[in-house]
Formats: sequence, structure tokens, C-alpha cells
Amino acid sequence: MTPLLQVDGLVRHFPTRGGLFTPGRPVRAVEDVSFSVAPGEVLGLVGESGSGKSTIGNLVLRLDEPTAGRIRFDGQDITTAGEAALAAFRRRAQPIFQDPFGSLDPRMTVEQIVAEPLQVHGLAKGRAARRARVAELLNIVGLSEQHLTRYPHQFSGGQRQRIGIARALAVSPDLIVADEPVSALDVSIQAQIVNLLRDLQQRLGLAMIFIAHDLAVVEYVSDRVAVLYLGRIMELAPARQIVRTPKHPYTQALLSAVLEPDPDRKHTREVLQGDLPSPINPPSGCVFRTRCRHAIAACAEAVPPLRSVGDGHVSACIRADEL
Amino acid sequence: MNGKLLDVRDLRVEFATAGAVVPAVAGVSFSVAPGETLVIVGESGSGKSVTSLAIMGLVPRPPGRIAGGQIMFRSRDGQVRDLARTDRRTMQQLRGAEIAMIFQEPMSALNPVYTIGAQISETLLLHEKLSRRAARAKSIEMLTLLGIPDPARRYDAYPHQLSGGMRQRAMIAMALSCRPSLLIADEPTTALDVTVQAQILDLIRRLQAELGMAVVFITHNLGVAAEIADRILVMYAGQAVETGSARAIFQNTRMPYTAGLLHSVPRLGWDRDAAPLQAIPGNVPNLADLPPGCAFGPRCTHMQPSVCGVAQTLEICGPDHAVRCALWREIGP
Repeated sequence: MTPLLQVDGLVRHFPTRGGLFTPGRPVRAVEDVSFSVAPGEVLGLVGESGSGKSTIGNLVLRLDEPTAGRIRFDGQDITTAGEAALAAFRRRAQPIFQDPFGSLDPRMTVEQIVAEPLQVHGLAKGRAARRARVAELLNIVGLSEQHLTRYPHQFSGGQRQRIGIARALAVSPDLIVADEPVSALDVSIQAQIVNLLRDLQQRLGLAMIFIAHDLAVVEYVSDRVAVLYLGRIMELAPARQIVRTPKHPYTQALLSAVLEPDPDRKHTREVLQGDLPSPINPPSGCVFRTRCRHAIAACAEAVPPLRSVGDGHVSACIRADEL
Repeated sequence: MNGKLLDVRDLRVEFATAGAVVPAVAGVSFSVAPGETLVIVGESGSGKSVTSLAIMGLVPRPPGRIAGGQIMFRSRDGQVRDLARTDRRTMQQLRGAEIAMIFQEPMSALNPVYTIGAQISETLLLHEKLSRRAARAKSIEMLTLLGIPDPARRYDAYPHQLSGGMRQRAMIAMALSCRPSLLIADEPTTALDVTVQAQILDLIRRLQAELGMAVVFITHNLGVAAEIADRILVMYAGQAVETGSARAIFQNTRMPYTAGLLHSVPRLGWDRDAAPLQAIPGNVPNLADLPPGCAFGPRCTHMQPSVCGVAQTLEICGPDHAVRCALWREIGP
């Protein structure tokens, strides 16, 4: 199947201000990232802060401009697309944000919020048709028509996230980029939103990029998972495989740090030592080598490429075979 | 006190808001033995953080006030005091020296214009009769104990020069510098990455063993609770709804709310095609508008209006295990 989204060699450097006589060195937020997303597929991006996962999400939606690399959506290069092509692309790719408090305009009613993308893209013309479509969308996300005239502050966090989802679905997109959509919610509410996202994704056949730091949630929602560290993909594999047979030492450390609600599961935890290196001055060769307990001299020499280590499973570790 | 370090009895904390008095903590009782870790689990509005502020004597007043109950604390000299009624000066002497607190966001506890070392030394100089030089040596010793690389140089670093994990360590060093007998940790790992969270939890556990300190650890994360708890107190809408040993809470769960929390969080390797996550329906309740009877009732799948519509009491349901649910016998673990 031809991919819906194809990302090749994506790079994003953020300039920093230098000293008086020295030029600033860029923050290397994303370095040479490539992946694809098939129609109806969920790709999870998991990593810690500074891994570049949110920057990738913004680049894919073209909310940010890449330093280098190419993003193709349905065969069309959107990194060079003009205004008209971009408008058509934006009708088909929609974001869901982390913070349901900051991402809804407090002065707009729910009806105005959800109807806005319909108006922008000239869908559901006429007031009655628009209202009917908004009511339909609210029903889909578990809200009702009585909520139409209310304002965001009258809703709880979980309900606001539902409003954000209704807004994203308004234009019937093919791709959703969801950046930490449940991490700001109370524990008892997170499952509601995870279930809703998964149900809608399957029912509407949506492709989705699901960005989160919680490996268990990412595994649950995603078909495939890419593990990111310091702007690079360390490992990419089907979700089950990445959890059961992780090949990269960083993925193994990340899995080992997951805490499960079971007091008897006090396994020997491999605690990663040290701090994340600076993305302004990343280590040579493998960026993870400074914290990797398997690192050898050769790891510093060249950036390890992603190599196949199984069916649909790639890992960027030169020692993947021996470990 | 029966050898307990801290004994909280029927604690009530209220906040006056526009038009209503909100019962943030509505009669909570628990105790902590020396060297023990009690984890208070709850979501937003459960009263878990307000409980910890009350122990520290830091409930903002107004709008808050301790409306009832006792917070009995045994200090090092053997004297037992009710912290709910202790004067400001005595509280200041206890805070930092015998009871210390760490927070979710280290930048809110560290002063950005002083070095890390100056802030740790300040605690020591305030509570112990030490020379500046001795305080410096002891501060560097604390930084070493916390696994901060190159501690003598870090002593002179400002908070912004450290990473999030290092700042959290510096704040813990500050809190533990006088070797308190009780540490209150309010979501100290929530803002951290998972690998750093593992480091900090390891560290707290190790220091606790070394210093023989009791810990009251507040979190919304049941995985964190399972990792470090001896005993657990689950709070909902200002009340304790289930309390017991960590094993009892996780393996013999009685309160439908606790069970709901346990089942709604996906775990590694769960079969997503088998069934959707068992989400708890509804929303976190509004404290100013609680239902009569069981506060969790409107969201509970076992709810029986005739039974659950009246105020529930905390009942013993096993050895070192109590639950606030009239139906616990019928529901089973």
C-alpha cells in the first residue's frame, strides 16, 4: 500500500544566539528522521523531553518549517507546497493538542469552536447545516447538543479534550497528529479519551501519529512505534515487538523504567545513569553512547544507521546482533 | 501514639470561596511509623496536597483554615505536639529540621538568585550550630550523597545551570540536610522523564534506609505507589476511601474507585483487541457540589441508591485494610 505520509531525512535546527564574537550553534532538535504512515495506521512516537517528538509532529502538520528533508502527503510534497495546496492539505491533516485548557479560545462557544474549521474550509454551508454537523460531531465524541452554547470554562478537562477532538474531526481528516492528548488529564479520565481516540480511529479509518512519553499508552494505541532519543530514531517496530523484544539499549532502558501498579513486580531495574546530553553539542557517533552500558569505542565513530533486525523492525545500534 | 511518628486524626481543612465553603479535606485519619513510607493516592481535588500542606502548617490562610482534627507529631526530644495548634515559631523550628518537604517543581522551591550551595547551607545554619565552613562541608557531603557529579563545583552553581533531574536532587539535598525524621514528598517525580523518575525514586528509597526517615509520598500514579509504598491511603473528594498495606490495596482491592483506577491504566503488553480499557465514567466531582452519601456513587457501576445514598463510614475489611463502601462484601475483591 502506498503510504499516506512519507517523511524522508527530516532535520530541524533551531538557531541560538551566539556570544559577542562567536556565532550561535543550533539546537539540533530533529536529525535525519525518516518514517512513513499508511492510511488507517497509527504510528506512535515515544521519547523523553528533548527527543524531538513534538517538533516532528509540528513539522508534519507544517506548523513549523524543516531545515532539511521532505514530507510527502498522499504523494504530494508539502514542504514546498504553496498556499492553495497547503490549505487543501490542512483539511486532511488535523492536530489534537495536549492542553485542553490552552488550546480552546475561552471567548468562543463550543459551537463556534467546532464550526470554525467548517467555515475556514467552506464545508457544511449555511447556518442550519453547520449547526447540524456540529451537533453530530459532539455526539460522536460523547457530548450533546445542549453543550452547543456553552463556553470552554464550563467543562472539565476530559470534556474539553472531547471538544478538541470534535474540532479536529470536523473536516473529516485522513491524518490526526495527537501530541500527548491524555497526559494533562486525571488518571480516571485518561482511559475515556484513549478509548474514544481508538474507537474513532478505527471507525473512521483515520491514520494517526500518536505522540506520548508513556510507553504503555503508546503501545496500546499504536500499530507501530518509533523510539526517539535526542532528535533521532533509535528503534522502529510493530508495537508488540518493541515491548516484547526491544533491540536497542535505549528502548530497553525506557521499558525498564516503566512503573507498573503491582508491588510484586520489583524486578531488577536498570536505572539509566546521567543526564540527557545537550542537543547543541550532541555526542559524536551514536547519541545514546554516553549513557549506554554496552557502549564501545566504535560507537563514537559514526552515526549508526537504522538496520533491519526483524520483520518490519529496525534498530540504530551497531551491536544489535551481539546483545 | 503507640510508637508512631505522625498520627493524623479526623483532619478537616476548609477553603472559603466566593459564595461557598469548600471542604477540601473532610475528616481524614492516618498514621505513619518511623522509617515507614505512606503513599497518598488521589486525583485533582482529592485533598491529597492540602493534607500535606496541613502537616507542614502551610495551608494558606485566608482562604484556607484547619477546621478540625489533630496532627500529632513526635519530635526528636520525645515531645508530642498537635501541629494543627502549634505556634508559628515552633513550626518554623520543626520545618526543615524535623519535617521537610519536596515539591513537584524544583524551581518553585529553589531561589534562582542564590547558588545551590548557599541554599543548602542556609538550612543548616538556621537549624544547627555550625560554622560557615562546616556548613559548606556538610552541604557538599549532601550533594555527594545525592549522587550529584562533581559536588564541590556544583555547590557554586545556580539553579538554572542544572538539568531538571539535578535540580530535583539539589532540592532533596536541601530538604534532607538536617536529617529530618519525616519527609513529605508532593509528586516529586511527576514533572520528570521516566528514566529520571526511576533515578529519583531509587534515591529516595536509599536515603530513607540510610537516614531512617519516614516518608509521606503524594502521587496520582499507581505505578509509583507500587514502587515505594509500605502503606497506601486512597483519597477521593477529600476523604480516605481505602487504606491498607500496599499488598492489600493492589491484590485485594475493595473500593470500586481504586479498582477503577487500576483497570483504567494500560500496562505493557495488554491485548488491546480483547476489550477497550475499563474507563471510570463521568467526571472528577466538584467539591462545592458533592452528592449526598458516597461521593464516588454517581460514577460507580455497583451503585445502589438505597445503600449508597447515605454517608459511608470507613469499615475494616481485612488485616490492616479498611474501605469506605457499604457494598464491599457483595462486590468482592
